[in-house]
Amino acid sequence: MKITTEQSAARVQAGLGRPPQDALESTVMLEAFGGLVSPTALRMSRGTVDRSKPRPAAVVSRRPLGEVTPFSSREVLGLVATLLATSAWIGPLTDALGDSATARAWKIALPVSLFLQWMLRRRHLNGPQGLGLLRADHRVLAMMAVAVVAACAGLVLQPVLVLPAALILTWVGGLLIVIRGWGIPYAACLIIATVAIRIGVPVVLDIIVVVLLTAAALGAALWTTPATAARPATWRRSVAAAAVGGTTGLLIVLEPAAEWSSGAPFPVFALVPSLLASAWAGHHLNRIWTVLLGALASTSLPDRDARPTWRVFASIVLGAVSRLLLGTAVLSAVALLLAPAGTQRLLFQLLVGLGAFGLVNFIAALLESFSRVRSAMLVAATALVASLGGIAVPLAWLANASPLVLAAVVASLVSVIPIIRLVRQPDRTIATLI
Amino acid sequence: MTPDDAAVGPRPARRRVMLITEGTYPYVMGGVSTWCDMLLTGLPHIDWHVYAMTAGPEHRPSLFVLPPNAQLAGHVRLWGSGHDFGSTGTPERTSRLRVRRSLRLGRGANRRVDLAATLVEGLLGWEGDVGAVVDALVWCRLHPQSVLPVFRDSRTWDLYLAALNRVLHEEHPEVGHLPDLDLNSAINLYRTMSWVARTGAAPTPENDLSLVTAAGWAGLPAVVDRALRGTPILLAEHGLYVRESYLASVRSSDPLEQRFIGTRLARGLTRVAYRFADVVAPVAEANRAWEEALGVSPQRIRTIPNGVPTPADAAPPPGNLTVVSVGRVDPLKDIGTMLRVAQAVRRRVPGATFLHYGPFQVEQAAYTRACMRLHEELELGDSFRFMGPTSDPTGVMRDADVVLMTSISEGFPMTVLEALSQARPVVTTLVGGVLDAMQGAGLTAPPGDVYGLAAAVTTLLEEPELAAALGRRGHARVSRRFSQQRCLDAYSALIDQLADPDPAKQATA
Repeated sequence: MKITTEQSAARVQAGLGRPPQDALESTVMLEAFGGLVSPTALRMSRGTVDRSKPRPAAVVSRRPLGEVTPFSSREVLGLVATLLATSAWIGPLTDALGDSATARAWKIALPVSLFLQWMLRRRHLNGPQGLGLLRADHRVLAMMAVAVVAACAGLVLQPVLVLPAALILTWVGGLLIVIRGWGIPYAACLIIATVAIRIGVPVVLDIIVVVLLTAAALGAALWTTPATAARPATWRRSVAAAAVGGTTGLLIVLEPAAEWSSGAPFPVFALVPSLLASAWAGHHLNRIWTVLLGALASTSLPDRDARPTWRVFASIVLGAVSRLLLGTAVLSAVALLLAPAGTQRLLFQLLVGLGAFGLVNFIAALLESFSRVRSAMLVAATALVASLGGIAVPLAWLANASPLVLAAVVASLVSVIPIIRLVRQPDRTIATLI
Repeated sequence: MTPDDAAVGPRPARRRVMLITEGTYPYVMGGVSTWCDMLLTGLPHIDWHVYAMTAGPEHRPSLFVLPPNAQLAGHVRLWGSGHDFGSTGTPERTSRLRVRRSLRLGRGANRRVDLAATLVEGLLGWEGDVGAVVDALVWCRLHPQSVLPVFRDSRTWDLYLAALNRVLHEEHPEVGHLPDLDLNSAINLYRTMSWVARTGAAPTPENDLSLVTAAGWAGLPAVVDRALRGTPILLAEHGLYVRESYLASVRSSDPLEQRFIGTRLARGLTRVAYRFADVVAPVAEANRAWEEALGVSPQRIRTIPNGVPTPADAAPPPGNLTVVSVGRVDPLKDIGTMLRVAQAVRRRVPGATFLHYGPFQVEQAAYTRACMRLHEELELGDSFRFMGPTSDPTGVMRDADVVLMTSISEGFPMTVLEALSQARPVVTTLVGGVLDAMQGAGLTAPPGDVYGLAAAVTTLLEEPELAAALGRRGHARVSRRFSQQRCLDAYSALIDQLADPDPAKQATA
């Protein structure tokens, strides 16, 4: 039986329900579903393609890419929980080890913890594999095991020197435990440890128990997570991210209004509004992976210039910044209302300063998460320089405000151009996020 | 040295052959993997370097024990996260001097911002420049650490978009109107191009020959080795990669733009492999038409049919109305038709039992679920059982009265050969090289023809004497034409010829 070109074309179109995309699509239709042998199908298929037929209707796919979020609210909440719990150690620690040792421990532990948290987030946790990548990274696991053993041994032998390590382990380990989804039981354990100090358990012993508990929980978290064969981010990229995080951490400990010994709960409590507001802002930024990708999936290439998707991206970023500022302001106001009489002035100074820190931290994290590492580093570094400058040469217009306010203003100005470049072409931003 | 060794003189140097697999050996069971295993164990005088490619980041255990003359030389996990460019393989140092065009590309090479544009235009364009694709991949191999930074460069994205627009508006008589791509699809394709580049950049060991098992991603390391080191390429084709991609596309419910990307990329990868393969060795003559249509000259095509070990005497069929099928659960195997055939057969032969051996694949989870739903809807129950993968395909054939295959695309199916080697009659769709394999030893029907296939199975179950006669003919045919040794000898000769094309040099070795 012979088949004409017209019959072939009709058969292909009937099978596909549309004109064929090209001659090979026609060939397989004629072969597999039309009963023609390959040489005939290949020959006949040429005549089945007709460019005069209408272009197939574009299918609007709103499926977003399976991406990671640049911010994780869980991380912030984990940090808040562990910070609050460990802040309860300050009084007893000051009594046991002295003011200077305690203050030094906090000043070292905060930036180092942020350094390590940012490094782990970039190297292992910035993807769907999460802890699985860390589980497979034997070198990092070995380093963590050595750190736990050294911290425990050091706490027994020389608690003054090793106290920072204990704080770091608790904060960084707590973050990983929270990411594993065990945040609530872990926080409950920390509360019990805090109560134990109040009822007379020696604080150093209590800290050793907390460190061991954190190490055990961390070990269990990793043990129960299947290892992933994927390759983590490079050390170079991870250390760069960590440097940004560490630099923002320095901003906190350089804040002159913060007292890191017997009055230490103040700076910790003052951090909470900006951290919680960061979580809210970060949650809003997740819309990048739903709303923005939906907008990209609904924009065809020819419409790229006619339907600017940057507005969607910009509105998401502005929405996040608004939430950060609003959340910080409202929670700070609540904190001031609840503060004991006579402490409001100092607390106000701290809340403003650490709120400004929250803004710097947010901007740096936003840029870093979109691989704008140099810009993130620039923002963090200029904020640090501005803060140091504000401390060294107090400006008249700042009056009694924190130098961190100056740091936030400078960082915001420095970040304007990088953020505009980030949001200007969302397709380019997301495509080059490889 | 034994006297025999002394009599034949010095042994020639052992050949080093890199076997490049894609989604098969040694991590996935199937016909191609069985063929690879046969080759590695059957040609012990060759040092095999197995270079495997799989999709996804997850760790996969090896399902085969590599023989002593074989070692795993690399494992590329496509669409994993991150890539190690320095742990295996041979660094390209002296080769820089060898390839003039790579030197040309090497100038200012740290920012080759036209990389994605070159790849997308060369691979997806109907008449894309595959030579330019290989140049770009050579650059990637020479500058592996620059590949990802280049893809992170905004200029790369801008040039890529312009190139993609050119592809979408290409005028050619064989190309119809193409769907408009959305920006999300363009981003996904950009990432796919980054994986093409990363695959080209991944290091490979030095070898005398690259034996590529599919004209797809597996061809990429080989074409780079050929350009840089002059390593010849033997492309052994089982199913036709591009044909199977188009077939999967027309049966898929994916959006048009995704189907366009998948098929065009497969076509582009195939064109690259065909262009630079020294010899294309299909397992069936039926593949030849497609290969020639996509640019392989007839002189470069050498058909080598598959082979299987054949026992002198085959065991008699069990006679318990058992129909066996073997194959992974995959749309190309058309399991849906198989289930419908089972239902139709059982209307006339209620005692018939269908046993399907083959793995479920993670990548085909949706298809597997659809098959299970259909199994339930057809109320087949225990009369059709999914038995999972088997390591003894000939053994399960012995338990069959009839062997069934419903594939919509095949090369030269091992399943059919294994059935015939055990003197079992085959009912199969008429695809690929099936007819070459089983001429006169079974019954055929067009792909998807449930009632044709069911009638054939029913006939053989109801007429065991006819089934036995067909089985005997199949056994004789396989013993005569498709023995394993014959297949191995053909590959051995071809490898020798390609790995050392100078006959004088061969004689003095």
